[in-house]
Amino acid sequence: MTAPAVPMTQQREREGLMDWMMTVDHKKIGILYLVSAFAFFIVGGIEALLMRTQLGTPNNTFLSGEVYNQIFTMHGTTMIFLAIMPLSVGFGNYIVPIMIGARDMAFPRLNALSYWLFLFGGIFMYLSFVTGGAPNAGWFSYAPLTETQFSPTHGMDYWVLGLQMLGISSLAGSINFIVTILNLRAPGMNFNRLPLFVWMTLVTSFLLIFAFPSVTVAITLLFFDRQLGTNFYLARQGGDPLLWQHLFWFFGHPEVYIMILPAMGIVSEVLPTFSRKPIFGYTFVAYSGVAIGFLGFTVWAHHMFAVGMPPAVNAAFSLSSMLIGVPTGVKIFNWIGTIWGGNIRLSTAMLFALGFIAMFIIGGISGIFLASPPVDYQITDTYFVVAHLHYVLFGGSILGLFAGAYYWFPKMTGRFLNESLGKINFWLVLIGFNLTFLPMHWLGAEGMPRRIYTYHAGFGWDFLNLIQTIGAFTIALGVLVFVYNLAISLRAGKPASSDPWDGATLEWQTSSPPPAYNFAVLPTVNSRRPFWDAKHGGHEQDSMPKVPAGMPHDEILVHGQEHAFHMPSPSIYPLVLAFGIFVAMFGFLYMHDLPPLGPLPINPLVILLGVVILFYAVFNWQNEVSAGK
Amino acid sequence: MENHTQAHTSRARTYVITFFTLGVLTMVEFGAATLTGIIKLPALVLLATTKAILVAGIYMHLRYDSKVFTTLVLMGLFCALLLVSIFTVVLNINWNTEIIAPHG
Amino acid sequence: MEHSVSHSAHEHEMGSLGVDTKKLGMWTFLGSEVMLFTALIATYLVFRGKSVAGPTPQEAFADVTIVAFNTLVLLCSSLTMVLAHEGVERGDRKRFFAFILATAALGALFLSVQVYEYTKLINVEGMGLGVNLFSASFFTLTGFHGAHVSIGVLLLLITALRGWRQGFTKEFPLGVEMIGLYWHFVDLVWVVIFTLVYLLR
Repeated sequence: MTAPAVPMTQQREREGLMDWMMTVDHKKIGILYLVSAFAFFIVGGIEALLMRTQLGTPNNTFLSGEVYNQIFTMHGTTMIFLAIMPLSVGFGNYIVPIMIGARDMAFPRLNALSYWLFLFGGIFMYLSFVTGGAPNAGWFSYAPLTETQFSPTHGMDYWVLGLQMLGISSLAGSINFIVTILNLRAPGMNFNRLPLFVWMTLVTSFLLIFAFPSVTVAITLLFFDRQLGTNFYLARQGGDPLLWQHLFWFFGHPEVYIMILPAMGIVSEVLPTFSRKPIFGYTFVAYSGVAIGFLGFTVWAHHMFAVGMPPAVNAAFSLSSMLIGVPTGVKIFNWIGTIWGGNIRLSTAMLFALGFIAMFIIGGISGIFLASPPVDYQITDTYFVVAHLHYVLFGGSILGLFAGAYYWFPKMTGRFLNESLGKINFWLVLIGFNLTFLPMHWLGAEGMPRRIYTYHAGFGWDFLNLIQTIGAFTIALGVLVFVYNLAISLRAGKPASSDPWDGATLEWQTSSPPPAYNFAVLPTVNSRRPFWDAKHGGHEQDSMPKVPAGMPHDEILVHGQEHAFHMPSPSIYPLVLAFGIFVAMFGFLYMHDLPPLGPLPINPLVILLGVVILFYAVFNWQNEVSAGK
Repeated sequence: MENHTQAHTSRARTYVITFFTLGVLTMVEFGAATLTGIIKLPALVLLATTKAILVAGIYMHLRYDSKVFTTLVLMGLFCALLLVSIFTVVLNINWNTEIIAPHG
Repeated sequence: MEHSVSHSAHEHEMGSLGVDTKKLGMWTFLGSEVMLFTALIATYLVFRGKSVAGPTPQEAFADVTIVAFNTLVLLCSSLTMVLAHEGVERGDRKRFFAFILATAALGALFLSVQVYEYTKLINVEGMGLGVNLFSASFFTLTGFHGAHVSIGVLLLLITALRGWRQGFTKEFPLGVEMIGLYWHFVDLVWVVIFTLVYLLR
């Protein structure tokens, strides 16, 4: 073997806040993503508590209808775009490059730009609360509710422009993931050896780049309707509100898989580790993920069975939706096969992963109900749908992300999260979750519509609603325990070794937390469980052909002989660039109602200011790159 | 070095030939646009597709470059075809090439 | 890096897929752009015949002289773009600068003609964002395309400036190839717009 290489650092280490603002290290960006997204998760959770408080008793006046609309819109938007997606991206950012044996993402600065755009996009949306009212038409923003006639405040404009920023962020992030995973794999890490979390991140990224443009166009048209006098979604001018729904759900359904697939990937890593077995049916788990992604593009109109499409169309979409149950079922059987006969350790991460399987099965089965148009006619827009989507997105994604948090916290910090508190956290969240969302199935079947801000006593809904509110506060208690656990474990948690769980993938091969360059010598991979084989002797007669998928071997030697490799230098300009876009967005937002400042119209000036900042950032970014930094 | 320059010269020639082919195809398109009836749409789509393949294959080097790039584009095109074909059904895209009068 | 295995005349960072990392990023981006324009074109196709008021596409595009000229301009710019790339690969400075500046100039010409076309459509044909759905979706689609051309012209000028200030560095031909990919893609979108908007009227 070659001697370990030493990283070349050109710049002195920066400390404190400046270090975080300039970082291009995928691990630090991952942590930034996780921390910010968790903060947004808390905010979205508080919004959920406000809603449950309002709905806990009939005829409640805790929130007005108008405020309730804003709260449920921002709850959905926050949880989807500002919590679950960036939490998955955070884990992906931190773990994926290490898992494939790379030193960083393919484009480290673009990675930083993605993060800052996400943060500014989120802040931008939330500014709407203090500037005259938040968006209020639901996270799916059905036209024509979103038109100025029905939503006269600037809330929807904040939503549209914020979402544009989040879209650019997701697009840049996905391109980065795709290129990293396809092109930065260590020697021998071929597609048959790629860890499943990496597989799922790859599929998710492809879904994003092909699905997001559709909603980009949808919200652009909406913005033109609101600000430039077009009539895209206004039926009275021949416009078509259904165009919004189709463009939106063409993105919106792949979005569901964008949120669940990374969690499935996490679970596919956690289950084998804590069952001390390889994953059962690796190929099936990987390719069923690809199949879900592929089919995910063909099912979007099942969100719209009730809008009056031709029966043949409904039937086709019903068929493709039920078809998705097949690869999903394949995954579930493989997970159960993985646990079967394993030497199971019920750590907190494992509990969350098991909880994921159980809850996701319930969510999947209620999904089969909804995929049938006759059933959907009965329960669409009722609490049954709310129950279904929360079993998939909370019972699925969030539990999976919790599993990831307990699994990888030791890797990120060098300390364990407290396991006793972890178990309290798990049971509180699991019980609270079922108290909150299981009764929604019955309420939905009884006809309680979703998105109502209150209801009369005497429909027989009172008791179950009260139970749900108690459940919601139980979840909140569970999350509080998690926050407490984070706080004490960061300072005084049990120190963790580099390989605390006896893991099989490459991230356990490097120290906890890993050095900036991840690996002194890039690993060479000979199997699906490279680190396991290194520790336990492994099976030399690997069934996989030993094709070097990475760099040609002579090139590795060249790199080794250099004894040094180039690490990207930090830069402030991704942050500045994102800030420029943030500023320009205000100019677009107040296109018509910023008063002129004396003789000067202020609104183009704001846009100009943003563009100047943007160009300043691009120019300096370019110069830094040219200077070989 | 001799070979090198020759390769470049032949490449430049390919580019120029492609340019004139694209020009001719565009002329033919103008002709096809005057057609009426059922043949017009397929004729136009076929011509535009040929032009697109020439640009992507030769100017964007897809013909000579890694198949990975072609695969990426084909994945995008698959989603694109899916969107347009389903929109044709559910949003009544009018592919009729004859006169579209305002209906109001 | 002198020892690295390079399959091409110029510097590439070959990754585990055997392709250049930056180029893979550009192609992934273009894959996404395919969907952006698909959604815009689909919107145009949905709305072009659904206006409740005139003008119709037939009236607006009865005369295709302007757009025929602009198609020719963009076609020429694609040729100059590949020749610029070929020039930089040969290390032929004169050829490179001549052709990349010609490409930028043709792009600017395209934009000017488009502005002229817009003013004509608005003033003579009575089109406008708020007039009818055909107009609105037409301006949105071609406006997005025009914005892409503008960004392309800007990138071409920046690339030319970089080549001027720093000379032909090892990474430079790749940079030219990437802006070329973007430029041809925008041309390719125009091929589709030209057919589906102006000819299929």
